[in-house]
Amino acid sequence: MDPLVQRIVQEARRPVAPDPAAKARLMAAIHAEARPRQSPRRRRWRWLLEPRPLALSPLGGFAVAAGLVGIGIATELVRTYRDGHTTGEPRVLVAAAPLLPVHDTVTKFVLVAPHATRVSLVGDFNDWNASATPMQRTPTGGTWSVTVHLAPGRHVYAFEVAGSNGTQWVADPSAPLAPEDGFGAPNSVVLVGGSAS
Amino acid sequence: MMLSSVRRSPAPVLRAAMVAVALAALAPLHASLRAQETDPLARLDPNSRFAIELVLDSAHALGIPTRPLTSKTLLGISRHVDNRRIVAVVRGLFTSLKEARIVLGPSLSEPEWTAAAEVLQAGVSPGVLAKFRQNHKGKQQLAMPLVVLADLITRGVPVDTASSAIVQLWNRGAADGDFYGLWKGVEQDILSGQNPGAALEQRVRESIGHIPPGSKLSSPSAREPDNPSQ
Repeated sequence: MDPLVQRIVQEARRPVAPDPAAKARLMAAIHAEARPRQSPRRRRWRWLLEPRPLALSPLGGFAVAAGLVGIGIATELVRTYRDGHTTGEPRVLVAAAPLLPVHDTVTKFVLVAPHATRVSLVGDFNDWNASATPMQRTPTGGTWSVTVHLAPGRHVYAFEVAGSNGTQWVADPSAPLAPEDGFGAPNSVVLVGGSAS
Repeated sequence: MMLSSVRRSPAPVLRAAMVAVALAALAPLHASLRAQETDPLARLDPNSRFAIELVLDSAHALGIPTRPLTSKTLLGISRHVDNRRIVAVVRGLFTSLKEARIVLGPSLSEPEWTAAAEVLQAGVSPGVLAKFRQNHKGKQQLAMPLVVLADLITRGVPVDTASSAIVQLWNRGAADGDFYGLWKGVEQDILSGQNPGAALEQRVRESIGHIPPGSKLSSPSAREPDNPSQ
């Protein structure tokens, strides 16, 4: 090997003894430099807003997503509506008797409709849902009836009658009429438990 | 070989991430479908729903029962009525409920309150409705007379005739059974072809003969003087 190169290699391999005070001097210089002062509030915001990498395995990502879905479903299960009804809570059927006044909460509704193919009771007690309270045809033929439990109070209701001419909404001929409901449909009124609430 | 394995390794990670994102994206859809099942108001368009919710919130804040308002909304939805019409009708009912409380006071039960609001909507003036206030304090229940009054107006009895007749019976302390009997009789008369107003006047004359003045009232001073011309 060229002696010059050999000298350079030897020099490069020679261990260098660092000055033991160098590190202390360096740190003292850093500490002596004025640091920008930040208020605790600003530091907290910075901590919140500063982006940082988040390591997440595929399994972890899946678990997080499943957790979010679960929270959504659970929230939906306990939603409370403006009328005080909670999603998970069964709705209570309301009571009303076509004959007034009554003090029972079990009420039988009857309609004579010999040509009907299907009759349903709709009212404020079943959210006007035609599939909620279907009426049964009596064995003798033209009379349809259903018995429901109703809460004391005033209830508005009607019958949805299906026949060969389509579906019609009719009031109960044996009960007081409610005023026009604003939608062009006739309705009846029943008071359950007298006129007390 | 090495390069190939490097290219393949992200695939399972990517797939898992896509599944996770898809699940997260499906959550609102699921919630929306479920809301349609359990929250009937979800069937309204967003603007109408917002308007109805404002009415419900206002009613809640004023201590007005929200059940009649919700029920009216659901009735409109089940009848497939135009959403704007539903909003208008619910607002009208809200106004009548407020007016009924102003006229009759805050001690109304919900059936009385709703019946009073519907009587106002049927055309009875607040001044006439206020006449029911006196004996209401005598523990008489208002729901039945108001239900009968609304029915009579709906069947074609003139508003003034029906109002004065029911007020007259009310002031005499008629009971629920008296009002029910009156309604049943007038209904039969109308079905047999009589003029609704005339049928009511005839039945009221008969009823008054059977109801001694103040029969149900504890305090005669609470009664209004009867008007024989009505």
